[in-house]
Amino acid sequence: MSSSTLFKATVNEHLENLPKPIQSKLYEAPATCLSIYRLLPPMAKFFIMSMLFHDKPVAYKDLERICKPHTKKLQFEAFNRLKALHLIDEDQGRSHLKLHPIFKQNFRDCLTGSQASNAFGNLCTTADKHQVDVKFLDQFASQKWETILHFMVGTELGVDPSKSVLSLLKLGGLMEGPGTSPRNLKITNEGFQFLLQDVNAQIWTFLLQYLNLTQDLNMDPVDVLNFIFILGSLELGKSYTVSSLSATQVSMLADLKDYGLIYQRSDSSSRFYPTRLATTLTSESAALRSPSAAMEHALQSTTTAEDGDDASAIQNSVSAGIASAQGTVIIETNFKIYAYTNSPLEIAVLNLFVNLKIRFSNMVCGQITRESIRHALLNGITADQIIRFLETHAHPQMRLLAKEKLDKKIEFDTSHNINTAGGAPQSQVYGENGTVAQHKLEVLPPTVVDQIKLWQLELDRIQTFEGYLFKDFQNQQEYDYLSNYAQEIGVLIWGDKVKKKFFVTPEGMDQVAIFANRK
Amino acid sequence: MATKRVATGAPDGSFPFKKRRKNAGDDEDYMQIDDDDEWTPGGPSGSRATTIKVSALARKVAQSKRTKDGVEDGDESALTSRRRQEDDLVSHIFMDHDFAWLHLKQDHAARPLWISPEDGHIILEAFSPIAEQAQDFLVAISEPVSRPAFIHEYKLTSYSLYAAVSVGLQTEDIIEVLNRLSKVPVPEKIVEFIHERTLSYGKVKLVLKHNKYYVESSHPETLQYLLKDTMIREARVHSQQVDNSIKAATFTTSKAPVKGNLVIPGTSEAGKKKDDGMPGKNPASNPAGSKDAELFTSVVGVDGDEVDEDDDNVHAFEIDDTKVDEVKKRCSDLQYPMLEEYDFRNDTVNANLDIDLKPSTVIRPYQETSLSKMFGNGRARSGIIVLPCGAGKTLVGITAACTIKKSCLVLCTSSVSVMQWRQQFIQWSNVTDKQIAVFTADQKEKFAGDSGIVVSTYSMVANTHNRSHESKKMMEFLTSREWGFILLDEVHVVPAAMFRRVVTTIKAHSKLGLTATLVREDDKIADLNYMIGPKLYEANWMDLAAKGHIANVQCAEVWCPMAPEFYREYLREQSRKRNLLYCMNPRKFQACQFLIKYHEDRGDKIIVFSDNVFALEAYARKLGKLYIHGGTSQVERMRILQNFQHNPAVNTIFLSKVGDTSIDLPEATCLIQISSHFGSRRQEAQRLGRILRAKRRNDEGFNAFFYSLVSKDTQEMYYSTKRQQFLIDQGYAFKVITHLDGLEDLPELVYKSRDEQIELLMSVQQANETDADLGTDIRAGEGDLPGTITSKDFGANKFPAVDRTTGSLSALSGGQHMSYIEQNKSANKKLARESAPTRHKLFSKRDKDVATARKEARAAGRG
Amino acid sequence: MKAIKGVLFTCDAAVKQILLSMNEKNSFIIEDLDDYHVVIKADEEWRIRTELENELEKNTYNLEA
Repeated sequence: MSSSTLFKATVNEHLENLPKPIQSKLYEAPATCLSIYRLLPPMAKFFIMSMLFHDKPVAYKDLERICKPHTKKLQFEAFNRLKALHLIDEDQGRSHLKLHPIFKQNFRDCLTGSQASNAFGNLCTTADKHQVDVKFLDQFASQKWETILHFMVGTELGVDPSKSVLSLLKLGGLMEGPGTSPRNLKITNEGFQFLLQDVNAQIWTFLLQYLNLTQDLNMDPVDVLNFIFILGSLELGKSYTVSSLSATQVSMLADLKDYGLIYQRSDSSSRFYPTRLATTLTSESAALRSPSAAMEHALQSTTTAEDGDDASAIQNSVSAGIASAQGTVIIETNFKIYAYTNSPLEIAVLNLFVNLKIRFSNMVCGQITRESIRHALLNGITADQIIRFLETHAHPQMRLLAKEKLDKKIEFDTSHNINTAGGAPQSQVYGENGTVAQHKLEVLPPTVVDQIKLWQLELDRIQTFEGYLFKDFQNQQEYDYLSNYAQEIGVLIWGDKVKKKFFVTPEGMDQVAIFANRK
Repeated sequence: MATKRVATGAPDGSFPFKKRRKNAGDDEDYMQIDDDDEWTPGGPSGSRATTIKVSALARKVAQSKRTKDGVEDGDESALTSRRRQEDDLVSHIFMDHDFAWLHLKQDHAARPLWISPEDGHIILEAFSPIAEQAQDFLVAISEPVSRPAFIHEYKLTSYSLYAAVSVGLQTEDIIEVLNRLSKVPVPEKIVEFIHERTLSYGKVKLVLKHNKYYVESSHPETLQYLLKDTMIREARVHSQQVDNSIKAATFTTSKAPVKGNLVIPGTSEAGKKKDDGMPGKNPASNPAGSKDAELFTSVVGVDGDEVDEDDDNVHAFEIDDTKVDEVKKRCSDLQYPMLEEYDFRNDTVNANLDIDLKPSTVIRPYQETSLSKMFGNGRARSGIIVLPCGAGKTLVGITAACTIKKSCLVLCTSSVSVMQWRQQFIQWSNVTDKQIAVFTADQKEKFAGDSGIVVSTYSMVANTHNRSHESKKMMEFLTSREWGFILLDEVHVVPAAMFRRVVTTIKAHSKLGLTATLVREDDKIADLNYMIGPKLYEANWMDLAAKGHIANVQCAEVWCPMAPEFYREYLREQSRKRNLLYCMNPRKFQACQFLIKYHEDRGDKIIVFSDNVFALEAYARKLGKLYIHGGTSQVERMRILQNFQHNPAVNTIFLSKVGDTSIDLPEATCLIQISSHFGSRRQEAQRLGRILRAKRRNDEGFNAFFYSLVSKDTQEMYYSTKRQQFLIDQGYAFKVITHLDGLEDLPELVYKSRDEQIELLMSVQQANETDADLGTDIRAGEGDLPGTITSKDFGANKFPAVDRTTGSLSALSGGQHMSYIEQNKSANKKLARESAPTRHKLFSKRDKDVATARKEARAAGRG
Repeated sequence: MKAIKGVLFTCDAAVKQILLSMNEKNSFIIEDLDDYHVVIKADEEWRIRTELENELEKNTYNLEA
């Protein structure tokens, strides 16, 4: 019943779930250290930097003191993350901490430039006879990646994706089918959700599956991960030597080429080029997004590709299919929907929150029901997104009617000298000087808009939190002291001064207990 | 969560369509459009094993290269063949309702509708330039499913095609027009279906002549076919034919009917006073004036109702009149449902009734259209006309009577309706007192002369037991003659069994059923329809509202959270008293108070409805308003209504179920519902009709308001949503109001404190279980249909006194002077004290008339 | 002072009432905090939520029903 985002397997979670010994091994590679560092939140980065060049353990108190007031929550989160990655270790008294020694060493090296020469890939020193430029690389990457998406969607390609891609699609639950023939594969619901994600998220999904795959093939996961992280730190437009890679890593090249992450002219080439998809793996904008973000993209009508310095160029062409569906959806007061479209992507998007029923070659019909909306809401899509989608895609007829109604209303109001709206009592929107702001264009039937929001409210009716109830304090002072602390570190969920009870998160319980003892 | 239903085949297996012939789920036929579908879950919780074939499709994901229009305008045949061969990725969502393979015609943008091959569903773009004609056509051949602002849905059914044929539409015409209008070619299955249904429909008619019944057809082979059936053969009566028999065959033969110069009174045609005028539909309203329009007129309009030219003879055989109903059913089963028509112009046997509409009476376009369907070929067709409440059904009935000009029997649901119909007849037509008689428990009259009108109730006619002597004589009077016309008011309230009795005891040449909704809660639509006849016409609510014929209503559902103590009790309570608890929710009182004040301040006239009498009284008394329920005396009732109508200080009245029937309710512009019948869609629609006459417009273009107050988180929510479905499909939108701004600040807000609320709760707990029932103040009188009518007995003390701590029910007791402002006092009493008793003019006139008529009858001879 | 493990339910008054009435049949409420909050036994969360949703569903009319 809780909202389950399909692609929760973010790289961070993956890393955090790795066993300690593997993590330790990972930290032997500077590139990995750097990449992991990049993936941390700012506060955690700060802590690492603060400890990096200290040889002795550092006290919590000292760290806290440097932080701005009212950042207890951020600190708390940062410490949690670092702990999960085993990057920090506490002492017995839990008052001091130190960095993971291997990590410390390698990261230092990384920063001071004293790492091994192939730590970040070896730039080729010789010129390439068949030099390729960034434009070529972008096209290449885009085409490769799209091939995969096309295959999932069912476009006739003539060429099937490679075995490795097919395995990943199956492993990741994005497609399913008997046997090994590509013809037998069918897209799953997760596959649909995947389609609507942004490219960066999609690639990480793939890579994480790849990691699982490599384990079955007895490839060293550390090697694999390291290489991935190395890729993330390479420079676009430059070529790198194959010879500096480990055997495992060399065997990865062919696969990575299939995904459009690298370009290698032939299997025997001595050099390879990372593409934009690779170099942006760990960049700042590499936050994983959910179907709701996919909706965001669908809302933006960008059909012009811009050479951004992130993966948006590729993203655009993919989401253009969704964006092309402008002005095609009619929604009625009885919640029925009629969309003039035959684009499979658009139909897939509609299917996320509409109960679709009939399809003609230029139109699909369905109905918005409580169930269909709940379904979408439970998948992380918000009511606002749905409403905005409907608004931006509203059929011209709907706009026409809305305009007519508005004109009539304005006319009536002016001729009757009304500057506050009449009509039945309702929760009204108030303008600046208390006048009721009702002169706005309502493209969608208000009852439908309200109802969608009401259905969302329904889901939010009950909220549950695991944790601990604190009560039976000796006096008011004790209560205040502890509840304030809990508040500050952001673990307090509920509290009542008068009743002298409060409720904290499971993690918070420890903290509060320790704090209480510390006194 | 609701479990989804799986698509099923037809019960008799012969056709993909569900035959709506007999029973079960007829509501579905009319109301729901998704009963064939199973929703495939599209999310992770759903099954993974969705059946899709990921097959080839040369469409790129980056659709920006191809515009939406491009697909349509592009190469037709290549697209066609590709589509036919391929299954789209997303096709699994639609299961067997993916019709993307139906190719679009070149000019599909100019055509307004799609047809689904699976279930005869039709989808119409209501914004198309030829939408209006398309709508007329579709209403004539199919059932409207939903008709909101932009896109309408209809459904082809056996019954709807039956109706189409009965108004003269030919098979080929239907198919041709559909083809013209459709973006896709009419699918094979549909063509077959139409053929099947229409070729056999409309072939057989039931004609009543000289008090005998005949089965008639232009196709002798059809009659032969029917006679092969045992039941029909045995019902046949061999008698000497009076008619000229040209052929030596065993059938009688005569000429087929034509419209000729029949003029329907009150219509534009009548106004023009042109002979052989053909009003029909006005193609002039269509600016396009294209070939399509002409085709429509000829198919849909009145003019094109001629029977096949090559066979203008009709053949017939007589049947036993006690077996008529069985024969009708049998023919229905054999796929030859009989049409009933009455050739009133050539009926020389039955006496004419010389009545006409008054010259000042003018009927509206949609009323005219409905009548033209009835009289299209110069005969009177039996059937049903569906018009919203307040749209003037009565006038349609009266006009029909004035067209046929033969003796007419009008049946209503209650004695009060009887009075109303009589009054309306007198108001709109030139019928005299002598010509119109009333048959109720109170009055048993006959009309003077050979022909006339009798107004009665279903119960009076259908009841077979315990007749008084007078009653018996009256029944003899009714059963011994041939009626030209029987008018059936509110026909869908009548239980099927009762109806059957009426039909078998009364011989009428033609039957007209009038109703606001074809929706029945008991799923007996099929029976009824075939007993009366096909649907002749159905109006579009939104359309009428847009044209100003009925009010434009703003509907809202106000959610009242339950006061905590009440809710606790509600959760514990398992008996019927649950209803009482959510009814008597103090927050609901408050909401009601708020709305009343709000609308009174705006000058509205407000009616508050409550099916539950306990609540009605509690509310009315608490809020200091007048109320009427079954226990209210006739005198008082009229007094209150008069005050409501004319007294500026009385702007709100409370009504119980008595208000549901046609008491002479004055105009109200605001309707608040605080308790109502479980999920009755009919009731909701009817209640709306109470105020659908409102004409004064406000700033948002609404001239009337309808509020349904529901207690949140109780069963009431469920029923409320259910009830609204019908109206929502007509195009109404129910706004949900979760919070009334300024409620807390209302001066003298009732039940503000917790103590007061608890006190109220106690009074509710002390109430009996029966207090939770609905409509307890209504008791059927002798002539009235149970549960749908007013009490005939207007005496104050005729109801069982209910013991309650809050005071007794009886209206007129002595006591101190009371004012309106004082709470918990009956405002009714004050009113009673203040004005002298007068009878409503309706009844006082009546009384006088009765007295005069009696005198005359006595003087005219002891008959 | 004491720390008790449990699950905090935040809801509106009506839902709270339903919880209380459910509690009468088999108790799962550790502590009733106020009009909008209760703490229930940790392992009962899923069961209670399901039952609650069923209760609320009864009052909802679904078009597909």
